[in-house]
Amino acid sequence: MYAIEIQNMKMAFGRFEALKDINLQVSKGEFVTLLGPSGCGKTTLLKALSGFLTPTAGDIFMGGETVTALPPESRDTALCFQSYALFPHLTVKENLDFGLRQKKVPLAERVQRVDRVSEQLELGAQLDKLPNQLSGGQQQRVALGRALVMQPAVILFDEPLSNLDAKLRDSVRIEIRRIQRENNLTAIYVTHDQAEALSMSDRVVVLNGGRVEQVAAPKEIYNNPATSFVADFIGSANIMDAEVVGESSPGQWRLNTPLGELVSESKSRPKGKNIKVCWRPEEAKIHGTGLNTVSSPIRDVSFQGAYSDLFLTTNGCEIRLQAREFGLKEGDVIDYSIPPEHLIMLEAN
Amino acid sequence: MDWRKSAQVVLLLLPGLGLILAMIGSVLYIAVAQSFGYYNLTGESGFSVEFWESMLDRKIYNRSWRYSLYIGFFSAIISVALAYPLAIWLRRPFAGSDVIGALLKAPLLVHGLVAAFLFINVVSYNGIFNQFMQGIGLWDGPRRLQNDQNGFGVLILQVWKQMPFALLIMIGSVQAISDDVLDAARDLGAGAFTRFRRIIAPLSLSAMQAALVIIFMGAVADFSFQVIAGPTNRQSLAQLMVFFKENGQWNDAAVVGVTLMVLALLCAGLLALTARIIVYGRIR
Repeated sequence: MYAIEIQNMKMAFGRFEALKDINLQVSKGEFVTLLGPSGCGKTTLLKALSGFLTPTAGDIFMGGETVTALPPESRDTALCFQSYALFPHLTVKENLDFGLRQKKVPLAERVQRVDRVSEQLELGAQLDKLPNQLSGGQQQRVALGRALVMQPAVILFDEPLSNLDAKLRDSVRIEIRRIQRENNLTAIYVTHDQAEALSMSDRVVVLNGGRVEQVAAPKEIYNNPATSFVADFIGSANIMDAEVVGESSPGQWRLNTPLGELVSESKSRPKGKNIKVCWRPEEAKIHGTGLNTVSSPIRDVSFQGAYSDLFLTTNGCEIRLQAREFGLKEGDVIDYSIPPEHLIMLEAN
Repeated sequence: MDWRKSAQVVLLLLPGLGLILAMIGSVLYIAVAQSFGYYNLTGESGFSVEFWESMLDRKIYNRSWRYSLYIGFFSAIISVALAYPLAIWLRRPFAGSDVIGALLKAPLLVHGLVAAFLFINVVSYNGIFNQFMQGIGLWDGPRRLQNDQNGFGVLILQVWKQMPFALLIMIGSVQAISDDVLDAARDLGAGAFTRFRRIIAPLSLSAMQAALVIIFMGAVADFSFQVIAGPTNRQSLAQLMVFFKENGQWNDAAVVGVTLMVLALLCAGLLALTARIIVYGRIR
């Protein structure tokens, strides 16, 4: 039995379809991130899970029971808001205790749960303060604590780190993951930050235009993107059109590309004759030789600290490479090779 | 701040604040002094508590302040009670909400006296309300509704006139509560009434108190609605004050005037405090 199961879910606002045919299963204790650009439907999906929106079609199950028509107050979920949404007139302690009072938890247990969570999140010294007396990080912890104290079956995060500075974001990110693991919570996390998604999640759901593009573990998403959108959205990728010429040997596919004939190594067959292919800038070997070697002049160099980004134009195709070698400059002609196992065949054109 | 700067601030404030303070101060001074026998326009002037003593023994005075408090209290409570759900309903714009908001605020543009005359016409013995009730078969014959003894007519007029004002004060405060905060309460299991009691009411308490106090003070000192639509067997404090003044009893009028000011101030404060205690469960 899954902690969450979404079946054929659709969500329409008038003629606009925000979510199209969503299917997803999440196991208990799993940390799943909904990732995508603004307007892709990730917050809509989260709101449907928390009960603030009712799907136009399809079903949502939690713990094997349908919750599609249940209002938020009747669901065993807790939502961490992007804005924290702390009650400004209540102290930290009253904020933490709010949900427990609504659920009529006995007083002794309420005190115990609030104490435990405040200790876990190091909020002991802040309990009598009002939210406006806390820093951003502390407010974030209170919002997290208010959700945790409910011991929900599912905890939902709506871009909870977007208001924090970069350094604080890193530490709170680690803290959220630690608490989620310690409490074996099922978590759905919404973000548009790919680094956050890749570093925190057991699985990532990439959404685009209301559709699921790919559901996979972070490494799989990065190394084997299913579509050109995923390849482009997660990290940076060189994406180009290709024509499948044939299979030169088992698992070795010859492709006609703007860079010339290249070979891709793949166990699965291409999805058509005219497809898209992609490869990551860091996978190309500068000064490489042999299979898939291309020669091209450098158009631009951008120093990034640990590496330099090289921008090249080959037969009208914009290429980006990563070089650890810092002596290269604009106008230099370099040879680079793309390992066949890193030349990924994507969807048909 | 040195004396030059202080003097500059005082001088700048003087035309506005000075005039207000001078006018309030002089009215207060004259009223209090007259109620204790000074500035007697018809007899000897000098300190005396006789006007207070005689007034406190008068039945008409005691009925009058109780009646004024009743009108003030219920006008404030009913106006705010009706304005709250409307403010929550109109919190976020929807198709037609502008028109509804404008219609609800329309009474603010109608003068109280005009409204009172219209009301009297509507509820008169042969007015359209009586005709309507007979027309739908609920009443056999016309009933006397005008100048009812319980002051319901005055209450209706007060609420009609003051509710839009309460709405105007409270809508901004209710709109300022973020959707996320209300959604968070809902997510944590709070139903509609709990969300109102534990989130909306405390976060809009200041506006609620302001509306209660301003409406109460206006209604407790009502004259025009009372004269036209009020009961004929009792008088409001303002009406009683005018009655004494027109009979040349200036000191008695001053006693009623001071009573009105003290009652308005004390009870408005009590009303605001009670609202806070009810909302928060404690004074803080």
